[in-house]
Amino acid sequence: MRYYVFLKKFVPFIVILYFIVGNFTWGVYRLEIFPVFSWELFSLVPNLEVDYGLKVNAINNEALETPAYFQDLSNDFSEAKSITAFFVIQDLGEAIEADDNESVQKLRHQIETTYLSEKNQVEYIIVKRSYYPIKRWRTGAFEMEAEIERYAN
Amino acid sequence: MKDTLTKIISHLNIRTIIRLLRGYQNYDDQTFSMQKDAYDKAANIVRIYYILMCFWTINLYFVSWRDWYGLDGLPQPLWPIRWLDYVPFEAGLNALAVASMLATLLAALYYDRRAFRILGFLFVLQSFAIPNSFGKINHSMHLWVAAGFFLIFLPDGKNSSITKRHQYLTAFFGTQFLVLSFYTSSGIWKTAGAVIQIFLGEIHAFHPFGLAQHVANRLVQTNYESIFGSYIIEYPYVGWPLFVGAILLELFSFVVAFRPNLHRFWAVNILLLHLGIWLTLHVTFAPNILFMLIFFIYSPFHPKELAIKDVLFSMPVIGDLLWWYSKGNKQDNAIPPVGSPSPNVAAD
Repeated sequence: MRYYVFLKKFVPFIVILYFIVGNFTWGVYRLEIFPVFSWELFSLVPNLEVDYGLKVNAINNEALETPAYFQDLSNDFSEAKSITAFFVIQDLGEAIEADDNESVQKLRHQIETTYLSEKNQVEYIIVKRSYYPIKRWRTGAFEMEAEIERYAN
Repeated sequence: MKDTLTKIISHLNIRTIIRLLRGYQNYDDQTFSMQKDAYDKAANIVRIYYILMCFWTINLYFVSWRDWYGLDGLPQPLWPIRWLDYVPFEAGLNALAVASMLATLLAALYYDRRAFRILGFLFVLQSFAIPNSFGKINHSMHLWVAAGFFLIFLPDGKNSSITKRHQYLTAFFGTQFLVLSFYTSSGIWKTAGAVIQIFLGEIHAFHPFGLAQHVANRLVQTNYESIFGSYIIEYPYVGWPLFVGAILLELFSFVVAFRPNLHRFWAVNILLLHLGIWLTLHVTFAPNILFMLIFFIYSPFHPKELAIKDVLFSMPVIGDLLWWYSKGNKQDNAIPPVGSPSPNVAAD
């Protein structure tokens, strides 16, 4: 019976602890302590979105007719539509803007060895951009596009 | 008003809160009288959980082991597998893969022994940290991993006594409660986000275009075409009630842990929610669907007989109000007309 009394207290304790830790670490530090999570998914509706994109200029020393975003190059890169790739590009953009060179090197290495490695040589730029989601989905138009760094692997 | 508030606060203790959370009940402690049945079902679910956990782990390595093999390390290793940075990566990965498959197999075979459940959990935690060490944490297996933690606390052995079964069902309830609280947490974030965006004058989660904006944004991020994504963007008013319904479903999920009448109903709706997310946003949560099917559609606490009225009265907030209203009406009807003799007098 003593174990039952323990469980009766332990069950709500763990549920509340998970809730507090998950929400605090995410809400304050944007940090996840796997497998604890706040479950903040799709909580803010995107209005005018600001994000980073990886635009490819040249592949194997041949310039593309029109520079194209990585997610549009699924014929060249098998991971082009990967959501993980999208998030790693966001991290790289943030690291560049924060002048965090160590993170920039690490993230560049990850992108070039994981997502761009199917081609021998890729020239690309990291672009900061803003857009309205439905307008971009319909027309492909951005409100703003600005190059923040240029790389070649 | 002040007196009423003081009265309510003075009555607010754990027992009252649990009674409020349990709401309407169409059975008298049915869980207790049918405890053996519930225990048998729960034990079966636990067995299925460990068999599937073994499958998920083996499948994880089937799909990705070869890809990870060529790496010189994980780009952003999570805490359970930080140790891989201090050993030759391939050797460490091979050891972890073999040990994890073995540990989960042992947990599936000896699921009634805590030592094996702990072993299984420790290796599942490490195995599923690997695919999440590439810069983005994917949450599709969180339910399964977190459930493994609570299941450690099931009592060992055959559990033939009433007390042991009671302990078993309490730990099992804990797993259900934890998982449903994840959905509530998600619902709270969405509601809070909507309140902030309403004040900022932006399109928010309760706005008719809320879902359409989400879908469009997700699709342009990856240049993916989901099955109904473009339909929701073109006809946002179709998605509006679905999104509002989904938020309410998430928000009140934790209450459902205390209301067995709703276990199946809620699981079906959460299943539909995940199906809808996949059809529009192209985000797959297949393991969550399987979890809901096993732990809630087949819930050991689900009453044997259930009328639509019971489901309706058990619904959070609306059901509570309907039940209280109907109770009030019954009490009103039960008041004998003025002048009629009281039951006691009649008995005399």
